[in-house]
Amino acid sequence: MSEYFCHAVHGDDCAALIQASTKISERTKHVALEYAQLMRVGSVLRAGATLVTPALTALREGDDEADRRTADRRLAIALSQLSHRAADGYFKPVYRELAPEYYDNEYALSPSDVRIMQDIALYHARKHMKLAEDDAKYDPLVFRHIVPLSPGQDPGAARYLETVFGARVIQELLGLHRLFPREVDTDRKLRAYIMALDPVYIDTARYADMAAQPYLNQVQRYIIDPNFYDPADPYVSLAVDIQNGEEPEPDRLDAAKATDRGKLSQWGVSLAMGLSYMETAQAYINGVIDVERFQALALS
Amino acid sequence: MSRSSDTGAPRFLNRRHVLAMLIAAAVVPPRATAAQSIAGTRSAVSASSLPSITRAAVIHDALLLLASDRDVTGEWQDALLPLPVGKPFEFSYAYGTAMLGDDPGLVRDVVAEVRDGWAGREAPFMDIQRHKLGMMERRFSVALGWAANRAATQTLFADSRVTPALVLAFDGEFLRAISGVHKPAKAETQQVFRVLYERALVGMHTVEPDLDGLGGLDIAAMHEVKNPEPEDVNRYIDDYADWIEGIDERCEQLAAAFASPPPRGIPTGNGFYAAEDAIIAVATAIRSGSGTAHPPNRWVADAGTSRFANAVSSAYAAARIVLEAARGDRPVADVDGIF
Repeated sequence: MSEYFCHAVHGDDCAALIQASTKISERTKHVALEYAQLMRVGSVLRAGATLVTPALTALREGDDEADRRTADRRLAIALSQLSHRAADGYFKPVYRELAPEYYDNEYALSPSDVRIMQDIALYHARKHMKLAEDDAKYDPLVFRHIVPLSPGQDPGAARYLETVFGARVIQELLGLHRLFPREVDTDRKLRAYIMALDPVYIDTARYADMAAQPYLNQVQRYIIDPNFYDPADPYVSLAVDIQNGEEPEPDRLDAAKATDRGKLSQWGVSLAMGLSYMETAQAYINGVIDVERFQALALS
Repeated sequence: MSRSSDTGAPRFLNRRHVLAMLIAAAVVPPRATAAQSIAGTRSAVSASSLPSITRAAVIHDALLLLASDRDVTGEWQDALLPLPVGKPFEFSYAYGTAMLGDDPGLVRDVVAEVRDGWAGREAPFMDIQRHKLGMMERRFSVALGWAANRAATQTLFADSRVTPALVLAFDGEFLRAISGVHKPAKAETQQVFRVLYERALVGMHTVEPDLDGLGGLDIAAMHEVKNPEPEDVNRYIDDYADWIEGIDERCEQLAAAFASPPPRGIPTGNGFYAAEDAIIAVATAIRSGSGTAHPPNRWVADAGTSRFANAVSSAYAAARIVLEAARGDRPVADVDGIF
């Protein structure tokens, strides 16, 4: 998996599932709820082991250098990274299997339709639920072709605004860097700048096209046949119910864990991986396993 | 008042007049004294790290005009405009060039590199943005953006002390200018901005960084480290968390800037943005798909009267100088005129 929407939902679902886990500390559960936005948007960071271990190690060692809020926010980002890695780890081979044609041509680095369709499927499956009420990513305008600032705005002006608004977001993200050490030469500086911008690339019109009129053959091929998403999947239903306000019941999670993997949806298997990574992270924080074991289980 | 009447330039210009005017346009903001110009440069530096929709729009329009110049075709146009006009992020290498710092040597180095090495440059390769370009074309695109950004910043904020509030006020004025006749309430506007954030995220594969992945060392350079230490990672994570948690607040600020009367002392209405200004009208036509290729520098001398039009004109002129110097059409030393 590589796209924002699925990663954000995956982060939401993992944050919900750990509420029902007896292997997760109360602090970690609290962080996942308190910093839900970090869990959600943090999951769009390109995951790397480098981003995860320091925050967990600081908690493990009782490092009080950072204040509680700072440590909690770092933990939330680390958890979101684990969600991202689980989703990537499960779904990337799935994409190669479902749409191998995307890996044999010049579009190999572009998101395949299957990824975009999964985003759209999740959006439609949940947009009317209670969990979507205060979540901007479920706004009805998110997957439209045009988002006018005012009812009478010229569509061309609306597209223009979206382009330059996106440019501002690029400026903001680049501004998070502490650019640049004086000793870095022009060549390296330019390479770093250019590579930092490479992740920006998906035309939202592709989302709008699919959201407006999904191609039925692709729905069959990418969503239905491989059992991408099943509301009755025990992991899926538990995650959704918790987000819709039900109590997190450890028994339901235990039942999900006991379910034969072959009976789970793809989304459910990926959530199980995410939950497992987070429980492993908790074991590392608690001193039950060492860093090598943690990284072998959750970051390799 | 048009730029030509400001400068006293003749109505019909030969090439030498045009070149002289381009350098003047890029160096001196409209109606600025030499002392103000220096102050403007300083304020431009301090303003360079402040995200700005308006500045991005100026850069966007300036490069759109440059890409539509009659003599910018083939591989030169491909380098500038790797994605079709009308697609989002078509100048993604340009918008954030302020973050590259204020060293003019960067542009000079790239111009010299392109001038000497263009014919023998490496073969294009596809990246995940589907830009099919070599690294030299990418660097050239960055240099054009850097020059446009520099001139845009100087002209937009020429006579003001640049603060976050001022940049926000300019954005509010720009948003009012392009929003159409009906002005929605603040809450509605805020919701639209929030959606645009979500769509910007949807439009990204992932956001930076990849500290231990592909190209790790290059990315690490952006963090002032060669091998990321925990404190470097934590610093980025803390900044990133601040950025996420600040999204709603930034939407609220933009909505407030849109809904509020502009503060005194900044250009407003047609003084800020006039749709009938020649250069704005042409850029709008190109964006809508009805524009046509035009002679180089066609609208520089008669861009229009608004601040935005003059900023686009300056940004275009600066980028045009970089283009011409890189192609060998003028001395590399002319690039210094931009600074």
